Amino acid sequence: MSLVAPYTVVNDPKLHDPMAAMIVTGRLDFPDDRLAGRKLWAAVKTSTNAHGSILADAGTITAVNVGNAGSAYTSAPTVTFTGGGGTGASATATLSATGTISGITLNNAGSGYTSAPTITLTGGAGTGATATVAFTMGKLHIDTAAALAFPGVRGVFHAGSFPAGSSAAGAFATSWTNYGVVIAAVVADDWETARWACNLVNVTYNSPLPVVFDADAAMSASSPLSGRQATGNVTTSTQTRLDAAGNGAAYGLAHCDKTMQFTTDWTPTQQHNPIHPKTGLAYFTGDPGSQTVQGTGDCYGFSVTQNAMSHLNSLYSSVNMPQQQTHYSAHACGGGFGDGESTVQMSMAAVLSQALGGAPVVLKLSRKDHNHIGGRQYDTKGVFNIGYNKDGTIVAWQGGWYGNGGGASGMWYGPRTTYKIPYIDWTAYNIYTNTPARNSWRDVADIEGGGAFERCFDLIAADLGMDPYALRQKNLMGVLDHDQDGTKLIWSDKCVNDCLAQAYSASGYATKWHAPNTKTLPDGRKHGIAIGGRQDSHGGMSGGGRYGHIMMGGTHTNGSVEMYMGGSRASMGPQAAMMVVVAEVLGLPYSAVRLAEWGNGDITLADGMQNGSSHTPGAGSAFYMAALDMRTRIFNRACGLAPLNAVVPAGVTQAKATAVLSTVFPGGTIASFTITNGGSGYTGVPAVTISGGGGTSASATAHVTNGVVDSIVVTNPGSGFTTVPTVVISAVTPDLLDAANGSIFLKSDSTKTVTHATCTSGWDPQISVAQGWGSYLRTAAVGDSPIGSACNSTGAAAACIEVAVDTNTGEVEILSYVNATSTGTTLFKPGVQKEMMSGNEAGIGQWLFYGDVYDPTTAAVLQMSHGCFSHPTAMDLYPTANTYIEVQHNSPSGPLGCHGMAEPASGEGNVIWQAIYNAIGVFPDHNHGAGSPNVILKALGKAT
Amino acid sequence: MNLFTHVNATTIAEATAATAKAGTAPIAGGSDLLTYLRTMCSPNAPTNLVNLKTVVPSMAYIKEEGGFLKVGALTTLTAIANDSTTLAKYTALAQAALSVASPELRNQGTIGGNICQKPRCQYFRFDNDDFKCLRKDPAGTCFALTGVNTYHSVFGPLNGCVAALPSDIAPVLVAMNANIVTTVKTWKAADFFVVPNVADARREQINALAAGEIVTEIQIPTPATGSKSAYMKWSFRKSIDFPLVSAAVLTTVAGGSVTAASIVLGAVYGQPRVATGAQTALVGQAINATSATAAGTAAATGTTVLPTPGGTNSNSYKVQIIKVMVQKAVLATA
Repeated sequence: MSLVAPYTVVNDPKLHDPMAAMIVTGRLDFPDDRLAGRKLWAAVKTSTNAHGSILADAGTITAVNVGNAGSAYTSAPTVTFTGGGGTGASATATLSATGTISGITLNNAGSGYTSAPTITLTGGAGTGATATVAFTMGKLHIDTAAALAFPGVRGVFHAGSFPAGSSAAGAFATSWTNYGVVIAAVVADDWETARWACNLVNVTYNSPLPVVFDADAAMSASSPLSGRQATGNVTTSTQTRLDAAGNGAAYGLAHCDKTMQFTTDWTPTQQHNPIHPKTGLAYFTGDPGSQTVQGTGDCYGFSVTQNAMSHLNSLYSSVNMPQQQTHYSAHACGGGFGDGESTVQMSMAAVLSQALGGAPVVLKLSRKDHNHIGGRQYDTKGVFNIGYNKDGTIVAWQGGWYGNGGGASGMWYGPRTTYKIPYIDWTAYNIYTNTPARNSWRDVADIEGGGAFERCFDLIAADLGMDPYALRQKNLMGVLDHDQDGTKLIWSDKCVNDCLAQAYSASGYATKWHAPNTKTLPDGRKHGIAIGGRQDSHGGMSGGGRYGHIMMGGTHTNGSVEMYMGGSRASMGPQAAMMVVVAEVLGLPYSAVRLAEWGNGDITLADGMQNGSSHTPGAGSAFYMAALDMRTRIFNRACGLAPLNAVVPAGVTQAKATAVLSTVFPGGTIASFTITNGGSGYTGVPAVTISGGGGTSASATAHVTNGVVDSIVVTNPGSGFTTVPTVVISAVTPDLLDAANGSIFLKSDSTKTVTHATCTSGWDPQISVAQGWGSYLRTAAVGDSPIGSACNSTGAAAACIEVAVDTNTGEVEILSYVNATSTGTTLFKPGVQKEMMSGNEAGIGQWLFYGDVYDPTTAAVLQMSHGCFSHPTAMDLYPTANTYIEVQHNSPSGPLGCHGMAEPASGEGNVIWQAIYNAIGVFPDHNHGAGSPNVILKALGKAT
Repeated sequence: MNLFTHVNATTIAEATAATAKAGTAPIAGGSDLLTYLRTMCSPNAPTNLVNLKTVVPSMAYIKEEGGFLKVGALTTLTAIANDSTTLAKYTALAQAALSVASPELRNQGTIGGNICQKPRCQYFRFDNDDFKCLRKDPAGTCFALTGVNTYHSVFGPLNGCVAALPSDIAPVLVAMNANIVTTVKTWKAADFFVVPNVADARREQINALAAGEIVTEIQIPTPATGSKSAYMKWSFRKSIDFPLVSAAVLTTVAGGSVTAASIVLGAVYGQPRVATGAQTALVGQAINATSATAAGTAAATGTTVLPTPGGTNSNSYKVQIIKVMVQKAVLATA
């Protein structure tokens, strides 16, 4: 560790209010929050080649430790060392009398190891034994002296600064497989100083290793290995759909009228990465401990994520802390491509903070670093062999999805959930190259899968002389059809069909469609129109593990309810929809619901979506359940208040009881109740009101059996009673009440009301916590699946897009963009509308503007997909050309009939590409990059 | 960001004296300079900035005087785009100003800054000077020649560099035969936009300004009777984008025929490129679709598409776009 200058350990209790800090700061830059002036800033030094390592002196293997002793060994297993760059290490395992490994003796430490080798135990007939190597790292050739000497720098850290094998050491790369990974971090008084000083960290590299950047080339047997997989550059998975006789796509292709081969272009390299560079903050109170000795203090971390629990796990593991001593808060993020996922930044900030004695450290990436670290770039292509009949029936689909970055596996979700095809044989090729960080990502996969599929449909339609919409209708799954694969569940709301129909109708497609390359506009441009849609993998009802947490009463005496998002805070999209759920269930005006914590939708337009990815509907259901519980509680309280406490409903005989005071010294409390009349006709649980007697705070709950109050349980004995208080058991029960606009009223006589404010006045704090539900039919049967059945619950969208293509310049104008997106029941209309608006924006961006640009020699990101000035603006959107249609169904799986919109709203930008095809008769080739005018000109033979 | 000091100059003399010191640069709107500094892309970045916005008298003005449109160097692009005189008589300049970036950037950016911006090449601009390009270091390499060059020159390298001129204003000034007044001399625009050789310490510049020399005013001769000008810009996007091809055209028509034509291309070479063939093709012709097309074709003569060994998209589209932009700009002067 390199450390200079004293630092201050923050121990101000005010700092430990994470919510306050979060709310104040917005985007974690903390410009003027209570940490200002006391925190330190960190920036990172990154690698400048794509496949390499830092020159290091050899380290030392000091011991081999048994991890799992295993079982059933009859002889000592063989110990083998692999990796680490050295040779010659050997060790011998010792066997216990019970068949376990009792120890491992290091015979030879070998030489030349620059990192800990991997150890494997084989043979001996037993199973389960594992071992680890204790390794002392050799000196890394990283010269930090100049950086440390720079004014304002507080420390410079790299893998060699921490114990070998520790989480902290692992946060810094000593070898890598892409440009721009973190080698070192500089902590300074301000970020610019830290960033500048990173330039002064001098790293000596080993000679770079061979690289492969091109996905097609990476699939060749002679390709250099990218190093991203243990072996090879490609992994595969297959998916087949067979008939009852076990016949697959080959059979279908042999039993259809026509076949067609089609290879799509490599799509743009999409980013699932926010424009805003990522930031993480961490600090400690008390003893921060170290990577080897646990501290007794607490660690606090802040970042931006849609997965708070994952970040919490990262936090405590990164600083060697027990989970209960780590505290994590996140801003929600998500929406289109707003996945912040700044776990690396937050965990590294925690490591740096720990190394600096617990001082608050903010780690912020520069835009360049942001472009290389933690991004989810992803480009795809499809290679297909399709069989179909002359009437447009798709019979067989054979071929492959190719995903550069290992992301092909999810590509078939949209197509398979939307259309019925009897015979399928698909292989996903997950390709790993040395381009910067890549992972599969669901929505991008859905988009690309859908886009590839839709293009095939248009080509088949052209071949058959059919209207592409008619072709889709012919092959569309029915709304009551079960999933053809996997779980074969029914959909709670198979809304893609309706989305397609509404997009078709609103766009005037029926009169506008024409065969490809057959219509020229008066100004000389070519006209194109296309339609497409997809039942997506998002927007559903998973996330049942989420919790909703609301509070009424206490200091909130005005009838308002407060929501605490907890883990749900980090769900994608805003919480406004959940606030609507709570307001609706409790009968409160929206303005009476207060969000104690809030999130942001990142680049999604303000207030974002109704529901984001799958998590948020789950969280919505959690709040629905919590609100139902609170509704019962406040209705019960309302029953005991005037004028409802004076109402005796028809058929009810009011129960009566008396209180019995405690005889135990010092007395003054209620010990029990004596029921003098159990009453009759109760359809719910009445309120028990205790008044008088000189005491306070006593409360009780009645129990009803067959309409009769048969017991009253003391829930709070109160205090200070000098005489027996009066007990009133209401005749009205909560099931006879309803609520709206801040008032609770009798269903049979709405003039009998009591306000929520009255109910909450003097009410002890009431907290309802509930867990969300998963994907089940909750309120209605669907097809042959009864209420309670597990179901698929996802969103859907369709688009119809009209374009004009200038064949002289390649410029594409979106003449109209009809976006029909399912919402279940719309809860949060502004959010729904804005989500669709941002969906169109993202769709245009994804298909016309975005596309990472890599240097072909290093794969350094020269231009980040949507970040580097390529996000559509109002000048690109032609706002008046957009039409947004909420396709509302009452989804039986979601709270109040809603479900998530998910990402399909942004996923139909592929229809732009189809419309261009309709205009010019050929699909342009993105060639991994943006669908900019030059590629249109290339398709027209006017550029190369 | 590069670390720097910042001082406010109160007079142009003070600014001149300050910027004469090594490692010092003037700053006007800062929309280019600050992003250049923020990326820490160059080892030659200034360490001292002298603020021209505080200079008195202000260099932000537009006026017609002595047969010229005189535009102070600190005049914002928004002011130029909105100036009725400029729009009516010096149309190409107003159009060029309006085409720059976004309203926010035009409100901040100045005409002086636009003609003094740094090259707009992804390798030149890459953070932390990871790519040692020859515009920053004479021992460096032009990475774009063998790398990503989609946005680059179609008329070959200039001093070994294939970065294309990023300024919207520059081709207009050349086309309109403008004077560029500095603290040292008055330049003809065609001489001003001569890129220094990479061996010269000024290698990062897109103009021939000497160290410490500050642009103070732009003077555009009032066009002759029968003249019209137009600026056409083409880029991948309609907003916030640098030009990929631009054409500035000034024609003078008498008796139904073009008597003089000035056609200058931007963003296709390292400096404004006078399309002499197009000018020749147009003079003596009536302005119509035929003559405009001929001018466009002539303007695209002599192009050289850069190699794309990395398989990236080439810059060949610029050849087609040159034809169209020149054609449209010529027709716009009809």
